[in-house]
Amino acid sequence: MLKTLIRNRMGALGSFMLGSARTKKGASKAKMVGFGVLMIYVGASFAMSFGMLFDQLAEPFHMMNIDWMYFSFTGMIAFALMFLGSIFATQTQLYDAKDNELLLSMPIPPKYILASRMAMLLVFNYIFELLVILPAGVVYVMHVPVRAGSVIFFGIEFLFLPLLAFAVAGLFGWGLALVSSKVRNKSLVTMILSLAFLAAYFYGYSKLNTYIQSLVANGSVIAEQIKGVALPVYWLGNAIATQNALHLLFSVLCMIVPFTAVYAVLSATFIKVITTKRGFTKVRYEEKSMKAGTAASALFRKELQLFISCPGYMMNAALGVVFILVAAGALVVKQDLISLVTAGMPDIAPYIGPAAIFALCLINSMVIISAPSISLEGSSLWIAQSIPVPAGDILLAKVKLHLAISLPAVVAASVVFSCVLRPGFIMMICMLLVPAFFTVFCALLGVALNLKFPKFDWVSETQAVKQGISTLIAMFGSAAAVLAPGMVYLKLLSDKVLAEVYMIGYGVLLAAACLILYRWLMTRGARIFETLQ
Amino acid sequence: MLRIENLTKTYGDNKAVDSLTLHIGRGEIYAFIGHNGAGKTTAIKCCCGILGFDEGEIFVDGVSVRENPLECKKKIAYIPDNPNLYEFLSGIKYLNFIADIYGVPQKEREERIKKYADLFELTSDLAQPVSAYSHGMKQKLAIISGLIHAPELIIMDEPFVGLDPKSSYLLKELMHEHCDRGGAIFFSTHILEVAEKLCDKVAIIKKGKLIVSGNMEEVRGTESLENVFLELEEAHVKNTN
Repeated sequence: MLKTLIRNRMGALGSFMLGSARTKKGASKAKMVGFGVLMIYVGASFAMSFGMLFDQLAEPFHMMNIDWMYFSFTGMIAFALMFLGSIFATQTQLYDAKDNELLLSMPIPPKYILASRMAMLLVFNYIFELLVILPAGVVYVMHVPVRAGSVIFFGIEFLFLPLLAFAVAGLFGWGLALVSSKVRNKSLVTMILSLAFLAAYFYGYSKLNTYIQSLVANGSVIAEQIKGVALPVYWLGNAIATQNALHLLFSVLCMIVPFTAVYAVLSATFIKVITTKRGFTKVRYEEKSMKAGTAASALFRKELQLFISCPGYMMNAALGVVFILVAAGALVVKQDLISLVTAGMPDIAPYIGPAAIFALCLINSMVIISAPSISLEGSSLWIAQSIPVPAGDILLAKVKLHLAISLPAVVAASVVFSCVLRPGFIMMICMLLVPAFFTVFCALLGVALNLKFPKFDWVSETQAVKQGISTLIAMFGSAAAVLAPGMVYLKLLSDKVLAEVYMIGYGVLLAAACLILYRWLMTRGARIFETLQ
Repeated sequence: MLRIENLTKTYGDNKAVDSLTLHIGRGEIYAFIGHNGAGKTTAIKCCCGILGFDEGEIFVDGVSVRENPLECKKKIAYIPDNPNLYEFLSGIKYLNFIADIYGVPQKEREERIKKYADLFELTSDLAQPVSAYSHGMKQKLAIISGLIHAPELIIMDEPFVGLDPKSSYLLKELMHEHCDRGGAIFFSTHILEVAEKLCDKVAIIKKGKLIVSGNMEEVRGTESLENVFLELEEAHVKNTN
């Protein structure tokens, strides 16, 4: 029974990312290859950034004879990534899944339902962990001679670490579900907690370099402190560094015991938490004059209402908008420093304009509001297909939502960039237009991709946003549409082509891509939408 | 009002609807009966322009669904078997959305929403999000949204499922009113007693093929519709064997 449930969850995840459960069509070879390439690209991007981080630590720690700190640090980073990556997924997968009641109505012990969902979350954790421990291991081997025993202990430690991350995330998700089952505005609670986490994450991230420098400079002191206050962290690192079997045993126990305890608590309270109804305070309707609007405005308002009613959608798809504004704010705050740098290094002046434009576009690629918008129609798709509105208008409403949320921020940031950096007149025009074109490109691309990879059988809106292949391709595809021309310019053409000419060319290309995508959406895309099932 | 001519819809090798021909005139309530998986929902979705079809034609008031689906959709109200509405909207926002889509003027929409919401005793719940509605309440909201633009043709898939007895009665009354005003209704149902009492005409399909259609009295003869349905099903099984 448990095997069937696990297979079902894994199958659902696989089909969610690749195939179409409704049409029972498997993933084509091309789709599989494309997905594989995308996964390699994503994995490589993460691995590269973590690799660079570990590269700063491996040798200094070895020189200071505190190799265990390197592995403890690896463990902490992996733990943080697993925890942050799965915390809200834990809540939505365990407690908010739409098939919970269906499964509970079947003769399946609740602990099996829980275990099958946990298995999927653990798979996610292992994937997150690999992104950290692979580069950490490779970097270490590159700098320090390694014994076979260390490799084995490394494998054992990191085989069990995801259990601890799950235990902490599961406990947090359990608390979150318990709190939100008692409050009316669940969305608000989730939103506030998400933002708090995000703020903490970015605070930590902004200080990362300082922490690394401090780690390298004061490695021995910090190591002593860790030994004193966080013994399990020391055991983890030392078990690998010195092949200490006792420390291996202790640290693995520290991972298994919380996991077992959390599993016991969760399975004992699983039914209670998922079946507790929210305490709705009934709002009584009072008649008031209604406003008539156009079909186009109604479609837009519907998209907007969906967006603001789903914190998972907002947080995962529109985070880039916050980053755009933060980038603009940071530029204003640090403008003196920028002036100082440009004055001191006149050689880099020609690159500042293109670099700023590409940076703004790159942040913009994180906005993926339109990419899950078709999937989010879910079981209500029949409404959009039965109303007397051209399919093109329905698709356009999704594009408009993306633009309404992101374009004002992009334009504001472009204006700030132009004012602070003061490039020449042509570059300033480029700075205003190119990011705007790129925003339109992302909005259109998202809808087009979702038409090709729609998934309507999600169990929570967040799943449709986070796990759809269209969102993944939209994010990394649009990032590639910035990075590729950016690298080509900086590495190959910066001394051959004027920056202004290059940016105008890039802008024209983007505008052409927008026109092509728009035309495709209004013709072929609209026909695809009409036949979606 | 609704003319289905040789409608054929296939899923892979399976013919879900096979050369179905039906004519539903103005003022008629037409029941569409068949076992589970007979092809009723598929045929209904084709009529509403939700599903494309392989062969045949469907005309709504003389307009081809294939060639001019938007014009046809303006004349139709479709109420599905499972009222999956926009859960993130409140009841009133959903109705306002539908009214905007169909271009219902402000005064008319206010009057109709008040009339039908009061009738189905849903008025006080209109400010609630649809996600908080029970199945029956969602069904009522779907019915009100179907009536809000005063359609000429109402197509319903199992409309009585989930409705309480009073709402079922009201819906039947509204169906009669609609047809008295010259509209037409085409609906599928498994409740044969309702079809027998309510409908002027009936069509029975089996495995996508029309077995019998016509006036209720002609089809039923001296027997109950239930007996006729069961006999026809049995005869069809023998013939196909």
